[in-house]
Amino acid sequence: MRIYRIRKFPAKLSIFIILLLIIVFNSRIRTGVKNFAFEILAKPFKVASGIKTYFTRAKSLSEEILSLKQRLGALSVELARMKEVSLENERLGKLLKFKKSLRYKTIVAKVIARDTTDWRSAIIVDKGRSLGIREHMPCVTTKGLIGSVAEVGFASSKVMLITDPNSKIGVVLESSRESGVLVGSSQGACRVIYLSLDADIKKGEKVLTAGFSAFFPKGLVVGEVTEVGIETPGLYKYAIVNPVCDIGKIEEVICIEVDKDAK
Amino acid sequence: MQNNRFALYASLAMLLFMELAVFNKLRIFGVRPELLLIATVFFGFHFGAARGMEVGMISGILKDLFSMTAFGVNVFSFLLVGFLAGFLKDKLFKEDFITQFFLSCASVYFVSGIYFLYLDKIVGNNLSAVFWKQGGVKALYTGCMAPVLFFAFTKIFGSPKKQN
Repeated sequence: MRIYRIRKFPAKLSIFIILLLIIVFNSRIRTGVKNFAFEILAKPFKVASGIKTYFTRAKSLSEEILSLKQRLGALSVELARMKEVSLENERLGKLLKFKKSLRYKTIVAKVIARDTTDWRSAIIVDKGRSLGIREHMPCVTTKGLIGSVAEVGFASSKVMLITDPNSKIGVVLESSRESGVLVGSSQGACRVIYLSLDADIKKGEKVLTAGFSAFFPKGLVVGEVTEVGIETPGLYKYAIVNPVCDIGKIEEVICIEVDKDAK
Repeated sequence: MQNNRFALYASLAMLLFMELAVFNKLRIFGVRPELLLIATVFFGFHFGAARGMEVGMISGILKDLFSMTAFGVNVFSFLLVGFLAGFLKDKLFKEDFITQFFLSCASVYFVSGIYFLYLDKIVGNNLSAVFWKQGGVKALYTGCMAPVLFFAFTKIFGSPKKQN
């Protein structure tokens, strides 16, 4: 048995030695074997390190996501605020330009609330008697007339809009020069009533203040004719008028002080 | 209920704010629900005419402050609604959604009718048509909101039986 082993050993040993020599002296094979061994030995470390990194990164990533989300939230609020400021700036710029173009003394007021009942159409503005607002002062936007001051408080006022059912304004149609009375209908539109039957009124015609009353100066744009019809008794025509601006979206108004003597 | 007086007034102020700010943006066919009216109906219906009138008066004052209608119109109409709702306290099933819906709808028409008297009715203004159309939408909207608010109020203020 021993002899057998001794006999067999040199053959195995010699193969091993030959292979070892080849590995040691051949740099390419040596490198390959080294790399292979390294890869095998490094695998568990890699896995362990990967697991550790995964958990550490997951934790740091979740923290980062949280902080980024917070930053995103703050930035979106800031962005919305900046957008609002930019829009307000644009609006006020237009308002200022329009204010300069008016030859009346004006007071700019901000809308702070709207009427609580849906039957009336009114807004509450942040300027009152203390800043020179008086009853019946016409209120306009850059596009045209929107109403008049109905009630005045010390620091706030109520403005009755042209869509209020109790609002009545003397108007004239721009091209047909037909005059009538503009009344509100509490549905966001107005009606010009008492128009003569033979009046040639076209859709899209502008409606202007007639200047008959002491409160509204002549020539302020009120709206545009969208529909013309004859009232049921057949005595006169009526015209449905779309106000110049979206009444529900007014944010600033200009109150005009009309000098009655100059008028 | 006595202890919840502060909560009651705070709720009314909150409802006014919601009507003016939140539901102003959630208009359906140009109308908003009458939240303060629902509150008046609830307190009249659950706690009797006296409480209904109290809530109606406060709601009316709050509405009148922010309204173009002559001061007192809302106070008067809301007081009446609170009083009438108090009459029905023991006559109708309070937890029924349909009762809450119809009671709120009817009160909207009642209050709208009083507003209508204060509008200038010029020939050709078509206000009566507007009244039925707009009043209908408003009544439906308010009626749909009523069960939600009734539920919330019951949770906050409880019902009279639980108090006893």
